[in-house]
Amino acid sequence: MAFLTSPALRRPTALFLNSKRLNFDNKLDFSRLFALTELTCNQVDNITSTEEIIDIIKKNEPEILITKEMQLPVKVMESFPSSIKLLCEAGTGFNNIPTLIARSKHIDVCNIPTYSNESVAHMVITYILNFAAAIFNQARMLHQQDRTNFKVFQHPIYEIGGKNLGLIGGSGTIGTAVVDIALPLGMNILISSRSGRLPSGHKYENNPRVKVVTRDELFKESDFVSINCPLNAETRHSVGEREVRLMKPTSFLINTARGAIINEAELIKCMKENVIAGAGLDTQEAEPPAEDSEIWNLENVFLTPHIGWRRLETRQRLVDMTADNIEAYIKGEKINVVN
Amino acid sequence: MDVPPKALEAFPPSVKLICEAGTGYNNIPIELARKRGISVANIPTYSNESVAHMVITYIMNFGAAIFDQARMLQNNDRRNFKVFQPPIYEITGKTLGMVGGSGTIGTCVADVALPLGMNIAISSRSGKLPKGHKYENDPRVKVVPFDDLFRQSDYVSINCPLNSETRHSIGEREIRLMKPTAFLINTARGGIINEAELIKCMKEKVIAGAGLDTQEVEPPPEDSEIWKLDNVFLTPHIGWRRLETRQRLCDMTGDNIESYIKGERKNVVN
Repeated sequence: MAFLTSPALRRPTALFLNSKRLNFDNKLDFSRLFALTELTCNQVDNITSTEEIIDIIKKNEPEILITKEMQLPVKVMESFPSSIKLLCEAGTGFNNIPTLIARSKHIDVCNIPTYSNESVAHMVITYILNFAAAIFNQARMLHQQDRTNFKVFQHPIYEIGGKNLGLIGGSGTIGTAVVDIALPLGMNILISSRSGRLPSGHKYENNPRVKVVTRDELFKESDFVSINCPLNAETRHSVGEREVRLMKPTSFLINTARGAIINEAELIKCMKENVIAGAGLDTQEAEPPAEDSEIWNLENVFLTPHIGWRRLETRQRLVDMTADNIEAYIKGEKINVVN
Repeated sequence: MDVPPKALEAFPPSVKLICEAGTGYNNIPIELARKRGISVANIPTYSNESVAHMVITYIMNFGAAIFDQARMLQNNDRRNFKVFQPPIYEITGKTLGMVGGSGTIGTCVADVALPLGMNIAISSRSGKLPKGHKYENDPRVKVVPFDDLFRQSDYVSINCPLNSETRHSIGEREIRLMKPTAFLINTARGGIINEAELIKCMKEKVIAGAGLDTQEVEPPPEDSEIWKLDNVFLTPHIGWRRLETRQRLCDMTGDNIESYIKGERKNVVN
C-alpha cells in the first residue's frame, strides 16, 4: 500500500546509517519512509570506523539521519554537515548519541520511547514457563540423544500457579505487561519500588496478588526474579552475588532489561556453584558475550540474543514509528525529541 | 498400568476398589470389574492448568524460535548473536485454534492466550460454545468449522479427548490446510494425530513446527524418525508430571478412598 504525502509536504533527504541491523532478514516494509523522504539505506549492520561514518554522511548530505544502536562518536557529530537537522534513533535507548552536542548544533534527536512492551514481557513469560517445565534441560538431553526423560523424568518440574514472581522495577510499563500474563497464570507478584508502593492509579494498585516489598524481600521470597528496571548509575551492577545468594536455591533469575544491571562475573560464579536453579538472560553485559566467556558453557544459564526488539512485527513497528517521528518533524511538530 | 482381564479375574474377593491415580481408565476392564463387585474410581480433573500451561509454553517457544536457538547453541553455533537466523514473531494478534477447545483445558488455555493478545478459534461439533461458557460473548473467541480452524490458525492446539471419532482425525489432510508458518501442538492424546502422516509432512516442511507432549506410543520407538526432525519437539507427557500435579493426584486418590470408606461412590466410573 503506497502512502501518499500531502502535496504541501516537502520531501527531505534521509540516510539510514545501518539499516541492515534492523532489516537483517529483508522482510520489513520501508515504503512509508521512502514516501516521506528521499531515503538512502546503507545496508550494513554497523559502522565502527569514524572515518567511514563521516565519509558516508558527507557523500549523502542528508537532512535526516536514522540509526539503530550505532555509536556516534563526538568527533563524528562535530564533523556533521549543516544539512543535518534531525537524528532518529530507531529504538528507545540513545546513550549511543551525544545528545548535548547535537543540541548545540541545533539537531533534534528523536527516539521511540515505547514499542515493544509485550515483545519483552512475553520473553519474560517464555523464560518462566521454560524453567518450570525444565525445557532447556530437556532440549540439551535430546540433543545429546539422551532420552532418559522419556523413561524416568530427571529434572524437577513445577506448576506455575501459586508461585511468586518478583519484578525488580516492575511497576513500569513492561512490568505491568508481564503482570497481565503472570496473574492469569496464577502467580503472585512481588514488586520492588523505591517509593515503597505502586504509583497512584497503577493498573494493579488494589490487586491482592500484587504486593510491593523491599528489594531484599523480593529476592528472598520469589520463585522467579525478573529484572524490569532501566539501566542507570544506580542500577548498574545492582544485582550480583549478594542478591543471588538471597534467592531460594530452587529459584530462577531472568533478565530482559539491560545486561549491565547484573554483575555478570558474580553471576557466573554463583551459577557455577548452583546457588540458584537457573538464569535466563536475553541481555548480557556485552552482546554477544566474549567468545571465551564461561557464560556460554553453563548448563543452568540460557542465553538469547536480545529477542525483545527482534520479532518481525516489533521491527516493523520501529520503522512505522520512525516514519511518525519524521512526518511530525516535516510538519514542524516535535514528537519524541529527547534533547 | 494395564490390568488385563485375566489378572482381574484372578483377584481375591478382598479387592473392592480400584483407584486409577489419573483421568484415563482404558487400562482397566471396568465392566468386568463391576461384574466382580469392584468399583473403579478415577480422578476426572486435576491438571487443567498443568496441561494448559504446556500449550502456552509451546506457543511462546515457537514464537521466539527457542527450540531452534537451543539446538544451535548445543552445536556451539552462535550465529544468532550476530544475525538472527530463524523467523520470530509477536504473539499479539495471532490466531490460536483449539480443536475441541470448548472444554475445561481449552478454557484454561484461553485464560492465558487472551491476555497474550491472541484471537481464539474453537472447533466444536455443536457449532457454538456451550451455554454459559466463560467466553460465550467474548468477541475474540469464535467457533469455526473444523477445516477453517486449520486454515486460519497460526497455532493449532489439540484439546479434545481420544475416542473412536477423534482417533487419527488429524493427519496429512488437516496439516496441508494449515499455513506454512503455522505450528501444531498436541497435549491431548497421541492417537489423535496420525503420526506417520505428521512425520511425512514435517519432513516436507508443510508447516513450521510441531510440539508434541504426547505421542502415539510413549516414548516413540527408538528408531522412529520423529526423534530426528529439527522442526518437531517432543516432551514426555509433562501434563501430569509436575510435582504439585502429582501431589494433587495423591491427595485426590485419598479423597476417593475416604469416600469409599464412608460408603459413598465418589468418582466411580462403573
